[in-house]
Amino acid sequence: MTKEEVLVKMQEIFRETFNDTSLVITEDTNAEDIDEWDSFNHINLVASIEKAFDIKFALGELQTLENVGDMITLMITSKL
Amino acid sequence: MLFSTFVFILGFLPVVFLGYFILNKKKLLIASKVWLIFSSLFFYSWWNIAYLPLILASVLFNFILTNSMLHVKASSVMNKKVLLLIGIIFNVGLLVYFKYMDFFISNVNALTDSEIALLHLALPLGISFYTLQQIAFIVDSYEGLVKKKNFLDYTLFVVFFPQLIAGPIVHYKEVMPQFESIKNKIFNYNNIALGMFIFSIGLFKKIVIADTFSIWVHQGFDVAYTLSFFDAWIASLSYTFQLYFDFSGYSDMAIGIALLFNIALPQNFNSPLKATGMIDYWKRWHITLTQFITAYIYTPIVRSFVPLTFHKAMFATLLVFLISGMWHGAGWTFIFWGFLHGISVVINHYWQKKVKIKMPQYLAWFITFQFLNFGNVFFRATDFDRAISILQSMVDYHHILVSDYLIRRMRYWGYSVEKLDGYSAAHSFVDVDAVLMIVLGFIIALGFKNSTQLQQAFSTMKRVSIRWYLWSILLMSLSFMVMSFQTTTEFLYFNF
Amino acid sequence: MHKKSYIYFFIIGTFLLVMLLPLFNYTVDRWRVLHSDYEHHYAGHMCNKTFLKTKYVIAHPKAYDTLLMGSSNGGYMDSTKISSHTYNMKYNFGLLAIHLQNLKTMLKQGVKIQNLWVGINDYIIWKDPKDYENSFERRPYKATILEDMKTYIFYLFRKPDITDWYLWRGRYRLVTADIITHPHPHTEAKKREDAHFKIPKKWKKHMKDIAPSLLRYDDTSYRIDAAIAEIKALKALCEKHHIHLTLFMYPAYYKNYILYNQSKIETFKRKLASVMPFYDFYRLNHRAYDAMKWQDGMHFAYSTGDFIINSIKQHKALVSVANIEAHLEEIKYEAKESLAHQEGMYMFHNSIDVPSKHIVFDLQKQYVYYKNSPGFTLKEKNATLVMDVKTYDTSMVLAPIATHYQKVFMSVDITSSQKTLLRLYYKDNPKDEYHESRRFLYRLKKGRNSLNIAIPSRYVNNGLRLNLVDDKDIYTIHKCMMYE
Repeated sequence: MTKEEVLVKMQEIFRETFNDTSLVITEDTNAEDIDEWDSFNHINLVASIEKAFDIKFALGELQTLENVGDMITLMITSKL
Repeated sequence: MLFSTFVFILGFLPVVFLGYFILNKKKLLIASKVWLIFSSLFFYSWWNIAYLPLILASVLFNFILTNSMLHVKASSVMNKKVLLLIGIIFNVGLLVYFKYMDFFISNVNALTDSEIALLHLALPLGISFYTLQQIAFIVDSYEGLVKKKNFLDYTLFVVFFPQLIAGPIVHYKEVMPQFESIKNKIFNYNNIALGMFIFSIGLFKKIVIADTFSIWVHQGFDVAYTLSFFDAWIASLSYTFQLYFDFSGYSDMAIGIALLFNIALPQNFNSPLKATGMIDYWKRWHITLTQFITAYIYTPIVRSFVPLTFHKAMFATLLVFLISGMWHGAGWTFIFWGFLHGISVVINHYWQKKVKIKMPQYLAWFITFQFLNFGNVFFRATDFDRAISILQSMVDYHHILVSDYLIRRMRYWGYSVEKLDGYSAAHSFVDVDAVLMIVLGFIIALGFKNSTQLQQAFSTMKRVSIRWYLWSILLMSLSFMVMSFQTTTEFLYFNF
Repeated sequence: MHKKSYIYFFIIGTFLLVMLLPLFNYTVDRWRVLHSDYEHHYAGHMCNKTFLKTKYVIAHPKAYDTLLMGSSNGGYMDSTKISSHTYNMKYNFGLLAIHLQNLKTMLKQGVKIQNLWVGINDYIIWKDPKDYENSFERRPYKATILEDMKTYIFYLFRKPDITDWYLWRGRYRLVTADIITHPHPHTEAKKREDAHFKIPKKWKKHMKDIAPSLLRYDDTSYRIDAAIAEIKALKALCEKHHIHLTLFMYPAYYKNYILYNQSKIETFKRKLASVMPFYDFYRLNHRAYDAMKWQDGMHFAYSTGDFIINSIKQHKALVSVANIEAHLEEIKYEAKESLAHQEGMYMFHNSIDVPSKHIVFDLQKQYVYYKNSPGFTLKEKNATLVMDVKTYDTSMVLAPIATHYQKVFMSVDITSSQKTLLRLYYKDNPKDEYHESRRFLYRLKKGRNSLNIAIPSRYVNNGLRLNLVDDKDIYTIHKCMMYE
């Protein structure tokens, strides 16, 4: 998958998790940009992403993810 | 060995530094690694060589275990998951045995009226830290994050002396690439200058500030029979400052020393006493521990609760703080301290999520600081009774015991005070020094840039200004002078 | 500066700044040790006499035939009266253990003497020499290179205090003095003594009113066997080097004597007599009471010093195994008698027998009169009384008691769980009111306290007011009796 394809799919997941159909995300989007993106929704978000892409994030990886771009890079290089 | 001794600063450190870079220059890269490992073990054994076999066995066992994970088949009985379990049980088991056995036994004795003998095991140095560091490694290995490694690299990662005894807790992938990098094999003036600079700050914090507070802490928590109102506040505030300056000073020294070897250790403190909320506090205090607990304890727990609700997350938070409390010490006061912090973080989350009123910053800071100070009484007191007694003295407005010193002062000012109704003269250790020092503590902790910010500023400077130079030699020389006055010191987090 | 220069300047700068500390301490050299200064000391501040004197004697190994060792009391002995080549080794709080160490050092460095006079104090049985090893005023001189280095570091890297600042600023000048080079007789002390004795009446009143100086004595831990071991070692050392050893015990002013546990002193003297004969001036004879024989509460006058030297030369007051028991009996009797006739009101240790056993008052039997006082209650419990104090009014007014002798002795034995005060109020005339100016005060410590108080009869005749304690608490009174 390309970065753009991943991004599009991610956007769907974000919209669903945060219950906002007009939400737009870019590679720079991080927790500060979205009000609802607190540590609890983060866990749910990650779980949804894992389910949707059929991947698993390692515990050791989770804390290094600063923004959407980091997540996508990680997913593309090691999982997809 | 302690960082804040002459034998370390003037003896051990220069020798290890020279040895490392001379060996590197001669391109004897394996030898230089062995040199670092050997020096680190020497550093560790200086206290008591009896614990050396244990740490070596732990390193060896964990290395073999994680190595097997690379080769094992998913279908066999001894698959990765089983190895993971064995690894965790082994490491946690070792920690539990040395640290908590007597605690369990004494509780069993109390509950069932039995008389099982206590083991009286002394805690091996740094076991709480190297255990956590290796558990993180085992989990990372299990999840496939660790690609290649050899025995020397792994050993160096665990025993590297700046962070061996009291952190910062590091990840393999943070540290090993730095050791591998060829650039880092040549000594770097920028790093050495920066390292010395940070080390002098850390040393000053520990020797001049924290050790001064330790006098009143010892008086208030260990020695005094009853405390007056002023004594209790002096003792508790002194401890809050001692804990901060001692531990953050230690971390500063660790970071500074590692920089001499071109290794950047992660930040461990970020002005925690400036925190305006308990969630904020734990992002600023013992940062590497918070990160470890969040990644390897909290996350697995909440992942198993998916879909995650707010209340389930709060439950997990509380649980994790209880565990943290236990990690800090084998005693009910520590567990209670963990409980207090857990509850307060939960309340903070509630406030943030449900109560939409934003608290003024000063009020938020004040409440947070008071809470921290209160909680620290449990952290330091030797038992519950002592903690409660000190807290009582802190709030016991009606029975302010007036010290002899105050009575004399009042007489001098014309107020004849033999006995005031309801009060009685009590021995007090309150003096002007203590109050001044506490004021100074507030000024330094709240008013100045913290060492990480200073580090940033120093490293971006092309040339060091005279002002910065003079400050750093002042801090260093004052520390040396005070070191020459001192006889014994206490490193607080050393019992971990 | 560049980062590279920073590194070098950091090391150099720190080193230079740190060196300011030993530089300062060396310049001030409060105890004159670093300069080995035999000739000066700061006005009003004592130098490290034991260090300097030992070093001085070693520098003049054949100049003296006799050494006089002891504590500050030894200063008021004129060593020229012992012999023309006597050196007075005394220093404040001179303990035998340290003198012994100094002697060993001196002999090892080739000092030759024929006689050694050693004076010991009552506090030899409880003061621990270890308390003085690491004090700046009394760190002894040891002539090895390693010890020299340790001493230098000890003094150069110590924490300066405000006094050092004053000395550096010249508030106190360095004065030339001969206390190291010619320690006999101590001219300043002689001047002081003459000034005190100018008006005998004034001096006598002064000595009558002064407080005892107990030097933190608390009657709990003793080191009698250790002291005896030190003396044995001293004796052996002298025998080995063919030095004639003269051992004597200084006299004490009565106010201090009566507060010491004399039964412990007796044990010590007994053991000492079996080791070697010694001269015993430590007793409650007229010298202990005569103000004109004392420079102050701790130091005897030069006349007493002369008396000691003469007595020793004439072998008077010599005690040995043969006469120790008789001697101790004599002293005990003398103490009792002198107490019975001594004026004034004072406290004394319960190891000294009360002169008489005729009971004139016993609280255990008469507590019913006080048991429901407004401020406290008294209850009987086994053979003791329990006093529960509720307010600060702890007064018990005792009825006037007729007596036949000059003195009445009160014995109190009370256990307290905190520090508090015992007060005894007395009246000169029956119609007087009790007043703070007519009060005897004693500080009770936490735990068990037992004391004896000698009270002039007329106060007992006029009725005493007794405030046994001063704080709200519960106390156990084991004994409160008066004898005459």
